[in-house]
Amino acid sequence: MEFHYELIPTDFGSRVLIIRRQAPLVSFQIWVRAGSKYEKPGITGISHMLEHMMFKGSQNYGPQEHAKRVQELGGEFNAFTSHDKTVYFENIAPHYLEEIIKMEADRFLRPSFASEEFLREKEVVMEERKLRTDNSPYGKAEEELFALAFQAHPYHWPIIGWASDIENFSRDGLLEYFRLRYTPANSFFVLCGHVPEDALSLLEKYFKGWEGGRVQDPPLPSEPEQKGNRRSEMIMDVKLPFVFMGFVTPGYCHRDFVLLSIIDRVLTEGESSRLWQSLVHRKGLAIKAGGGIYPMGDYSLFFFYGVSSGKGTLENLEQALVEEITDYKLRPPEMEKARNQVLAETVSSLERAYYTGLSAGEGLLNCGEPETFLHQLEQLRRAKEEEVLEVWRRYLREGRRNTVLVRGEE
Amino acid sequence: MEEIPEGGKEEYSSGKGGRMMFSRKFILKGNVKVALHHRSSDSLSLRIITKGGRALDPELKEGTTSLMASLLLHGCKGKPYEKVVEELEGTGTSLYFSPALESIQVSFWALREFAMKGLEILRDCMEAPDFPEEELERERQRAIAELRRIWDEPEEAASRIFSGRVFGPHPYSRLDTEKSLKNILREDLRERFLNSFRSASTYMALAGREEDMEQALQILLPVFREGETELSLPQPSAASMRIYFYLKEDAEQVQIRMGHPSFPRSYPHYEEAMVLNYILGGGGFSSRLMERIRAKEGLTYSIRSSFSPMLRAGLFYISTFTRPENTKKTIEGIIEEVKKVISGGVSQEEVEKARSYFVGHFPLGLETPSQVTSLLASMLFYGLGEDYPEKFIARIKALTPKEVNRVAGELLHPEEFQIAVVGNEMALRELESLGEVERVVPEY
Repeated sequence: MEFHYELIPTDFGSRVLIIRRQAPLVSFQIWVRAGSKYEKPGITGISHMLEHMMFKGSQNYGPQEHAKRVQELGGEFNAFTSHDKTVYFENIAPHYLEEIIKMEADRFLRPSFASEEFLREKEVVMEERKLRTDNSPYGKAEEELFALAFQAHPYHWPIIGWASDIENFSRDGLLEYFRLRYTPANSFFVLCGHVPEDALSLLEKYFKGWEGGRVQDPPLPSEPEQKGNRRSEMIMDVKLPFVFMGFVTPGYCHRDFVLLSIIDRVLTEGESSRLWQSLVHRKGLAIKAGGGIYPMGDYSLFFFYGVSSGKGTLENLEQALVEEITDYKLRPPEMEKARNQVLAETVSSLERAYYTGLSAGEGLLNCGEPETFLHQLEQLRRAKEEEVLEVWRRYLREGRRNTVLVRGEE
Repeated sequence: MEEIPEGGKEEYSSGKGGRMMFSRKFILKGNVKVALHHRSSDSLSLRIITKGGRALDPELKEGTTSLMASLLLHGCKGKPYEKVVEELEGTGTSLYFSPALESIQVSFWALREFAMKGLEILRDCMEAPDFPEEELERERQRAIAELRRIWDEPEEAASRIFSGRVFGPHPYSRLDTEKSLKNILREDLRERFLNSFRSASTYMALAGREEDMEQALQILLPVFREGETELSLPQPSAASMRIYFYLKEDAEQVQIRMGHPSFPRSYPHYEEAMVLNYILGGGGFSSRLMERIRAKEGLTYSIRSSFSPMLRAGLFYISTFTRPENTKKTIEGIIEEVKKVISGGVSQEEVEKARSYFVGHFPLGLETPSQVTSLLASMLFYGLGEDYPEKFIARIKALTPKEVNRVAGELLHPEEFQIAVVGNEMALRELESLGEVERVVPEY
């Protein structure tokens, strides 16, 4: 598998990751170390609110003008905030790159954050929170699961923030957070696809004058080793009750992450997975069952779910889920299946410049190496059954489980 | 992207115009129309669209096509379901059957080294599915439970209410229910199956290396049965405005869907409609609905409108959500914007921006093999012509506001909006001030 890149420092103190490949577009991404884990109680969700405000105008562009212009050029744009970072991106025809860089530089160096826009956008973010969390039983249960599983580390609170914190956001607080975190040394650029030759000089030209060092964050609290299962029960207006389950596992760069991803494939991936075959197909206890690893920098959350079919009790479903999760056995085809699936996903994501950029960016952000996903693939190829079984027993065991049960009102 | 020579005796019609976007070759194999896109990739992508979707389900047996499609992999040529999915997923191959109203789509993607093995499974399942009784029973029970789950998510509930009413009594609006699912027999699945994947109604697009595509055709083409799938559906008719409401007491947000039947894909002013919709509500932050409902009034996080044309007819719809106390204001604001675009038309500047978007965006959607097969299969299914991408761009570039304004009144009819809302008591009170409200109870 071919993957070549250049990682170049810029004059203004940032770095540019360039990945050239055949594509009808260039994916331009700006990665900022500004995710929810850098927030504090009282300002949870400020990273996400700031991401919204970055679309509300800068010195030379009115509110949403940046977004509208990218659309006019036929490009795709957006931004997303996660636990560890905020990423802004445009996928665009290569000859428009200069205009994109110019607009991005304007909002990173000279954002407006106008008061009236700030107040209006708080309302929009509240609606987003309702859409994703308050009005969705699955969203609510996911929020509960993170809060249950992470009790010391800031992964405890939701990326979008607690509702009361969103209501209390102040423009001054937002500005302070922006000045602290949105610095060149705290960010990097990714250019992937058909990258014009002058891309670096364009960045140097338009981002000249952007200043600030890498934030010296105090160490974040470590999650103490869990001593006993935790459980939460919620009552909601649902016709089909469901169960969410989560185990705290190591972060994206840890060597156990890859070994756990093999277990993930075995237990949760597709209709041939153990959970689907057992809970949905053979026992008929669930209409859906699955899970995955929610990858993050400091820790990950290995989660599972089952939506009750109405046959049996929710406890029956929970018990069946636990039995599958703790059935520490591997059949040879399952190792092979995991390898093939990860290889297929890697090839598939390399077919899109945007996803290639995201994979490389994730590696650079968390592990300092854009080619991390290739190293992981290699580790997966060499993984031995015994080491997979060992991490399985170590992380997915009794006493480390976090369970959220959601029942209907009647 | 690489070019491949065109023509050859298998080409069913000669390509016209340049191939500015991407290479493509069209051939007729048996009766199946095939499009090929060559690229030196490590994967093989396949898209099949065949006529015959959910709208063809017999009355009182709604859900037959969906059950048939989901059971295609549940045992083929004596190989049990567990083995079928294990062999596919064990090689990282993805294979989906997606039933739409007038068609069934097959999406396949595999690594080169496993592609032929995956295609052989696909062939077996399209040639001789077993439809085992016990699998039918399992999937039926799952489908019935899934009908209940939909009402747990306000977004899904609103979409279901809307889909079930927007086309009135037309088969497009008929939805599966617990009763209809219970009426379906194994013979119904077989009959539905035998009337699908007919060679003259099947369109296929492949992307990958030439030798892989050639081999793929050899494996797959023999499975399509002779003949044609008839889509004898009446035209849906318009109705006057109606409001449907489902009460979800704990809902902190109101989900809103509104729209009416619209034009089929063969509509001669498709490009005008696309530009009109971009300006009204399809163009993200550039659209009038987003500008007014989100940016100016802060009523929502997202709002969009869309035309979805099919073979016989189509759909125009708007979807958004808001706070309960803003239900009336949001709906009135939307209707006002729709009326405004009909009466006041669109401006030169708006049309220029929309044109620029479509011209710039089209090539971006052709990056991956799967994106290309999706476009090629649609081109074949809707009979858009081999030079469709070039013609589409040329037509868009030439559009004027006058042409767009000419179709606005023809395509948008706010007085015929069918409005589906899911929300709490406050949302209901807001709706009642707009007109008569029909309460919906969960349908399953």
